[in-house]
Amino acid sequence: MEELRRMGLKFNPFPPATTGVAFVEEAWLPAGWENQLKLLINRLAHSVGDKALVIVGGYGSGKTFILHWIASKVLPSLRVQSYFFDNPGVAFYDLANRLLRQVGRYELSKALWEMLYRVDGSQRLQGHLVPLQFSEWLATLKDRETRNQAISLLAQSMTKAGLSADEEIAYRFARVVVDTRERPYYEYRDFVPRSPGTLVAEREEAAYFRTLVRVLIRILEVDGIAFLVDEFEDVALGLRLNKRQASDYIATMRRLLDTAREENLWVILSMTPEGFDQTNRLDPSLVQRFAHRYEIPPLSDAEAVDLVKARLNAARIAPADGLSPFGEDSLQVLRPTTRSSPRRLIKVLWQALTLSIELGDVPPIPNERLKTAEEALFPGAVER
Amino acid sequence: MNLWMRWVNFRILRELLLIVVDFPNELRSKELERIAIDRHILVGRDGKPLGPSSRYHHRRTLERLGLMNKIHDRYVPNAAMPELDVLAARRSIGEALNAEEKTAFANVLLRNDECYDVFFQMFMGGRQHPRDVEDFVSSGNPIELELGTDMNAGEPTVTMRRRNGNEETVMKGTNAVQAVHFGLRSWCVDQLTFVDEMLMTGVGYTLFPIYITAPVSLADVELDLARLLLFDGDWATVRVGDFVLEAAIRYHLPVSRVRGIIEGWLSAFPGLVAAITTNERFITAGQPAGQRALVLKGFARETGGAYVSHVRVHRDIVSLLKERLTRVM
Repeated sequence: MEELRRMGLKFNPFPPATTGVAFVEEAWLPAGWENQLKLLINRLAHSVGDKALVIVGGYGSGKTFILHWIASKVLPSLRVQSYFFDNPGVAFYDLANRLLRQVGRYELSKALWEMLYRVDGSQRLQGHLVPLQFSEWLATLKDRETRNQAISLLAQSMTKAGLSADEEIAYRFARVVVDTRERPYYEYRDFVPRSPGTLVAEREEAAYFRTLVRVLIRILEVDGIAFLVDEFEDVALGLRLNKRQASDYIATMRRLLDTAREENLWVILSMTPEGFDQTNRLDPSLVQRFAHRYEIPPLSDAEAVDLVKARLNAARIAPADGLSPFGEDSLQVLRPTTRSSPRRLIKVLWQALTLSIELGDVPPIPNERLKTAEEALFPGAVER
Repeated sequence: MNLWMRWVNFRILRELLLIVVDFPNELRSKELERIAIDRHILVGRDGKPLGPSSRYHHRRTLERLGLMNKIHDRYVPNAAMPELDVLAARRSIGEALNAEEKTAFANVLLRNDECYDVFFQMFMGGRQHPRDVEDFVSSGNPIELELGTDMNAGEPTVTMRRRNGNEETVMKGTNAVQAVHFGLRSWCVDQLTFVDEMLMTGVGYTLFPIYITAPVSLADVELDLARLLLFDGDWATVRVGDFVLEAAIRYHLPVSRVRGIIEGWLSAFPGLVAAITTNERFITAGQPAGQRALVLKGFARETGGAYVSHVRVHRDIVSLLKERLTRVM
């Protein structure tokens, strides 16, 4: 810590793993990126049809950071609630599973029950003169007859509230609420169609999902729900995608987009360039439904300087200009491929700062440290 | 359309021809085969004699290509074939074909009417027979080849179409698949190397003529490639598979050599060329195990072994390559 103070810093602002979004509250994107992304998102907000955006960039180009920035800085102003996924799985019900686990069974059941209670009137749903809290009401469902009655009433209320016109889907959601008494958490088999006790209507995954989106919008009192899925093509990680799985992957994406079109669901995906190209090859008509695509550009030299300054400013003990503790021209000694990649740049600076501290340097850190760090992390030219 | 072509080993074909040249007008089928087996020519990798069907197809291929004839049940080399001298020049056996022998066989194939009708006419777009490999490379165009199934008849199909064109031929049946895919395509790509191919998801095989021995220097191609890049500001981003395929078609070079240029850039200019890697499992999504290697052919690999789907190239590479070329000269 003392060594860092010598550098004028409270902490090392360059995370060594360079993944994750530890600094998203001090989130900084190059102005050009911000402007372009805000423009695309505003266009989506004011358009009808699929609200689908795909962010395309290589590993380490900033895809995850951009998704989190959108979720925390942009969508709230549009009254859109975000849910973040990575590696959602190939099958559609994997998505429902992960979404509901994020929301939480008890929280969803309570919120849904309270909302229906307001819509449908206390006595009818509760069966009591004195209003009960949700937990108290759950405790009254002691026998099967009472539970079945409660399910029936809730299902009717769901239909009355315009959440679902399908009897079976309404029933399944009612069961989500009522069965919370015994199991206040989800299990994977709850979302596998045709498995015993499943909460998903058979062959109605898409309709079920649409209802889920409507329920969330109503109970959260927002104008929309956003799914942000990072590295969508990596659903295959750990698996070889055979023909059936590749087909499942495409079907899942198609269903997501269909739901996005019919409900106020935003689908914002990140993909590598090859993920996008391969998806296009597997199903060009699907890719065309992504009305907006944002390809992350390489950082310009000026943007690289601004990125480093933004991170340093968050860690400085006292305000300072420039790139201190690094020299003002320090980034120029780095290769273009390092300066233009957020991940590479941050990794090299972490290494350089650490090395400099170990060697007892005082600011400005010699440029030599950056070259050494760069060479260690990304070895130089090798003639084949 | 005569679909006699089957998978055969062209090294074996040449060595069978040597026997017929040594014993003109003396040998019947069984005698030719016996000598070939004794000399370890008509044998598999395990050293055991090839099966009767395979032995038959080797003999028949030589006959149908016109390299030998059967007169009164005995084999005679066809002295009218100009390639015979080249093919019979080298007396050693068990060695891979050299460039001259590959060219000789390729020329024989290209002049053959049946091979033209089944395969080469699609490359030539209705123009007449190519005279030789040179002519084929300069006049031939890339094609796409796709294997499928006729759902109504329940039989396999092979479709060939001109790339960027409307002309298409569909052939049905096992014979067609054997003749086109396992026969001619394999002959030209795998053994005689005057056609190369790449397999792409959603497209099938793209096949195109290449030089057996490239008359262009890779250094010249390299500089040309860099000049083809479209820079947006300081950087150009290309999908390696597409870029390599287009360059290979343009310069009539094997995909592997052009891909080698990109891999060379990644290791020689790490400051100017950035790899965008991808997951191998996703590249090969939906492909049967036997075809995965063909799909991966179009992807470079960085020194760490990861597959590179795209590269980002800085515009300074053009001047560096020019400098390098000047130093070499």
